[in-house]
Amino acid sequence: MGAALERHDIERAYREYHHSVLRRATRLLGSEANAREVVQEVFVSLIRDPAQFRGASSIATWLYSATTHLCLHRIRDRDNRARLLAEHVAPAQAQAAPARAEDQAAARQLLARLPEKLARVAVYAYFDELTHEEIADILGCSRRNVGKLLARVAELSEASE
Amino acid sequence: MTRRAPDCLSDLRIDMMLAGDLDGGARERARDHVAGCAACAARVAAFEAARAATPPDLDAIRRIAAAPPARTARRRWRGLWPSLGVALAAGAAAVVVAVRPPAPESDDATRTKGGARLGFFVKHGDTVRRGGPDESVSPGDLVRFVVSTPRPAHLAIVGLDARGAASVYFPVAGVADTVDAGTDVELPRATLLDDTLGPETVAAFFCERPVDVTAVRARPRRTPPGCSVDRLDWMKVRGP
Repeated sequence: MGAALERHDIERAYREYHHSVLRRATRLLGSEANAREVVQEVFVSLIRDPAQFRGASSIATWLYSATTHLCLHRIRDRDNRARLLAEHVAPAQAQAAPARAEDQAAARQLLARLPEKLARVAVYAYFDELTHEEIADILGCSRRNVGKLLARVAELSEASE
Repeated sequence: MTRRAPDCLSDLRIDMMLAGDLDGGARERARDHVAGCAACAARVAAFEAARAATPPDLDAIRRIAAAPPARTARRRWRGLWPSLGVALAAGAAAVVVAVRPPAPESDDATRTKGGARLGFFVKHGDTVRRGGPDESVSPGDLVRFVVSTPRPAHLAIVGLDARGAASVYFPVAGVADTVDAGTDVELPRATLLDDTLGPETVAAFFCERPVDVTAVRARPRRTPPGCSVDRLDWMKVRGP
């Protein structure tokens, strides 16, 4: 797929990758309904502005990046709202959450508080379990830089515990 | 999270393999690995099953993409809650709510009994409270809606203010939307109340199928076929 993304390229990308976007967004957000919104946002945005895909990477890695960005935006928004509500109305509800949900919530809270670039690299490394080479391809940086970013994620993660 | 063996394929690699987007050498290596790795073969099978279970709905994407982009501001609801980073509540001109049919009724233990319900929280100054019947609110307050519904639904929320003006509160940003089953499911984004004083009725339409939000806004007192409605009232007064 070249740099000039045509309508049929986008439609092919949708056919081939919409389930992948849905799968990742569902895991990241913990809600299939919200994940379906992300699927729409990703592909509608691409149809409206095909030039945002510049052909520097494959469409697959671009979709990983776009999905991650939108999910992190939602996680940050939700985390902020959750904190606000928790302060005033919802502490009792939180006590009833099962352990797995608590773990996932904690992971999302950490993502919400990490700087954008660190949050993205954390998603690719720990949610997607991508190799450093794959992460470097998505981020457009060196593998060495990926290692540095992940070390920084580990530092901040430990500091927040 | 179960860590994958170091030599196994990443999800990205499997996605690209199934899409036919791996180059020759990479494709062969991926296929050879899957042929000899039960774990990756199972993942490939699971991904293929997911592809089959979620057929693409290109028409819906084309329809939404063809609709006018969401406006970044509107007459009644302007501005946001900057400290929370919430986005503008934008009006949707002619939006079809959601593109997927509701999922089968959930057996989730948290499901509500009875009909779907609309609720809200109000942020006034530095305090947040849950809105009750005939709640008093003020211009500049931020409202966040929550819904409780026993099953996933296509949702539209429309307000009818003291001047008889109707506004769409949900969906926002011109993107079709659904809500999950659950209790007090928070809707994205908050709405900044404008300075129109007096009573306002807010109606939430929980629908089995996609509905035209423009039509709902045009006749907010009518319940569309296949929808249930829950209404609440607040009184907007000058605050301290």
